[in-house]
Amino acid sequence: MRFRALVAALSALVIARPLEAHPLHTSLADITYDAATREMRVSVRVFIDDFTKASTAYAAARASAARAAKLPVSNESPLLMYARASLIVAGRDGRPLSLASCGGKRVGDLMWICFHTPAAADLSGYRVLDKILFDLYADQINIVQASYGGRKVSLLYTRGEGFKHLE
Amino acid sequence: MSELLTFMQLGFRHITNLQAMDHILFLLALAAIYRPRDWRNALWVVTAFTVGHSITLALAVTGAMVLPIKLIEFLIPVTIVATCIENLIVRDRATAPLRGRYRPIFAAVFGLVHGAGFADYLRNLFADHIAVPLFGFNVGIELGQIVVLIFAAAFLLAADWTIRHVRASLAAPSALRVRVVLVSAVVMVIATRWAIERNPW
Repeated sequence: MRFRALVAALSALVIARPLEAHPLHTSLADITYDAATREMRVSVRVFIDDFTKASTAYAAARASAARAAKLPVSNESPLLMYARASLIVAGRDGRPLSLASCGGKRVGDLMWICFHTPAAADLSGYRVLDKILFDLYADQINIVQASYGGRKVSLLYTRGEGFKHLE
Repeated sequence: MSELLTFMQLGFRHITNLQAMDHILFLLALAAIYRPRDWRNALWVVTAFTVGHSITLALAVTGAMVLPIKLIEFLIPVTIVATCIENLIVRDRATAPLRGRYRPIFAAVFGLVHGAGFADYLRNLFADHIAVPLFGFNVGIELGQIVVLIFAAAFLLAADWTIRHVRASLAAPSALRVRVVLVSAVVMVIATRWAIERNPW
C-alpha cells in the first residue's frame, strides 16, 4: 500500500509540470458610439505583464519578417501594433476599420488602451474579432461589450473563433 | 449574447479548464473520501465550499476586503495539500473528532481562500460595473463545479472498480482506503509543487 502510494506520488511529480495553476486569462474591450464626434470608441483592458510579453514577441516577429523581405521595419509602438493586429473591427461590408490611437494608461495591473474611428450611429452589422493574447494562452477568453442605440451586446471569444456580428 | 450569460460562461470555463487544474484538484481531493451512499455529506461539504468562495468573491470584488494576491495564490495549493493530508490522516471517519463533521467548516474556510483567488482578476477588469459580472461569474463557477463533481464521481467509481479487481485475491485495506490514499497522494504532490512555485517569500 505504502509502496503504491509512493509510486503514485512520484508519478504525480512527473505530471505536475504540465498541469498549471490557475490565473484567469481574460481581457475586456468596450465598444461605444460617441454621438458628439460620430465615432466609435474602443477601450481595451488587459493585464499589462501578459500584454507586454505578447506585444514584444509580435513586434520582434514582424521586424524579423520585414528584414527578411528587405522592407522597412515599423517604428510603431509594439503595444499599439499588437493591439491593432489582435482586435479587429470591420464594417458591414467586411472591411476592417482603421483604428487610430487615443492614448493609453496603466491602471493597477492593467493596461487600458483607447482607439477611435468614424462609424455609423447604429453599429449593428459591424463585425468584431478579439484575439488578444490567444498567441500566449490557450485558455484566454476575451469579452467584448458593445453599447449602441440603447442596446448592450456582449461577445465572448476563445482561441480559434472568428469574427462575430454586432446584432 | 446577454452580459449575464457571457460572465456565466467565463466562470464555467474558468473552473472546468483542464489546462489549469487547481480548483478541479481541490474538488477531487474533497470528494475522494466519499462513496455514492455518502452523497449527503459530500453535498454539505461542496455547499460549504460554495458559500465560502461566494462570500470572499463578493467582499473582495466590491472592495470591502483587499487581499494580497501573491499570498492568496500561494494559499490555494496549500488548501489542497491540507485537504489531502486530512484525507490521509483520518482512516476512520466514524472515530474521527466530531465523527468528521468538521469537514464542511474546513471546506468553507478553504472556499474563502479560493474565492479571493478569483476576485482579484474580476475587480481589476470590471472595476466600474461589477454587479452583473460578479453574479454571472459566480453562477458559472457553481455550474462548472457540478460538472467537475460529476466527472470526479465517475472517476472515483472507476478507480474503486479497478482497485477491487486488481486486489480481489489479497487481504488488503478496503478499496475506498486505497482509493483515498492514491488520489490524495497524487493530488498532494502536484499541489505541493504549486505551493513551492508560488511561495511569496
